Amino acid sequence: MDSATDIQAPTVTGLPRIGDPAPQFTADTTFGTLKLEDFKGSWLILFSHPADFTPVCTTEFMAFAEIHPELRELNCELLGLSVDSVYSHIAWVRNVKEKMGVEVTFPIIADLNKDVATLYGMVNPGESTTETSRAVFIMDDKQMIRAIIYYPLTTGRNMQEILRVVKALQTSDEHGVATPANWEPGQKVILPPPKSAEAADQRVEEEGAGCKDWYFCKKDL
Amino acid sequence: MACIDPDGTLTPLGLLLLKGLAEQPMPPEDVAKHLGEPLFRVRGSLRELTGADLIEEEGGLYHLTEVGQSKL
Repeated sequence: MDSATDIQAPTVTGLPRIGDPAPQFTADTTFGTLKLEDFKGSWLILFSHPADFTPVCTTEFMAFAEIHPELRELNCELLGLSVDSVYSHIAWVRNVKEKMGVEVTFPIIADLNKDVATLYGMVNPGESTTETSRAVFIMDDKQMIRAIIYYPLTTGRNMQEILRVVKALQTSDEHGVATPANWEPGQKVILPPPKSAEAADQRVEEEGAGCKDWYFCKKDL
Repeated sequence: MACIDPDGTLTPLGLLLLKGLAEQPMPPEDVAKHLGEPLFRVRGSLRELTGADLIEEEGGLYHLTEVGQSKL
């Protein structure tokens, strides 16, 4: 056996990745028992936080609640998760409303057995074996995983970036385009590069000033 | 639970759902519009009420059972 055959293929962990169907689950939440399939037809942001009654998570929940109306306008729902009980979630949500004046308007999964957290790889043992990291899974209305973001325990998420990703994905779906770095709605989008030399010539002719070169063309929507 | 408390009494949402379906059988989408609740929540609630034999589904429409009618 030569050395090359000793190289093992990377282990496939089975964790969901971009482009995969979202793993289905049934879970106890602050809105009662919900199945992931209940969200079909809506985009969904499934996100985890390390623990209830912690300061960074509290700022995040207030921020998620703040963007919830805008997400709903995009046909996108929110579903939180942590390794806490429903009673803890209820107490925390009530505390946030009482002390901070912010109503949490979305359900939170009580994942005491880490069933959903394990299914989605939300626990990063190198960071913590008992808490979920700040994971974000963005799913489309057909429940395909479209984006995954991880933040560590110490760092609160950027809601504007999460909103931006949802808007960018929906724009890509609607118009068959891509979006450049730091794209915001209203800015130029990127045409997918041509796949043949003939199409490249045609692209430069048709798009004119919108092209820096055959593979780099932007346009207004 | 979202619609039924552990002691078996209906929550305000559960009662609203039963009242809405008492007016006319509806699919989940129409229930969501009628109540102004998100569809995912209505789906979960309908499942819970179905499990408690308070409503049943026929041809995509949910309607009250006799047990459900007795709760109003």
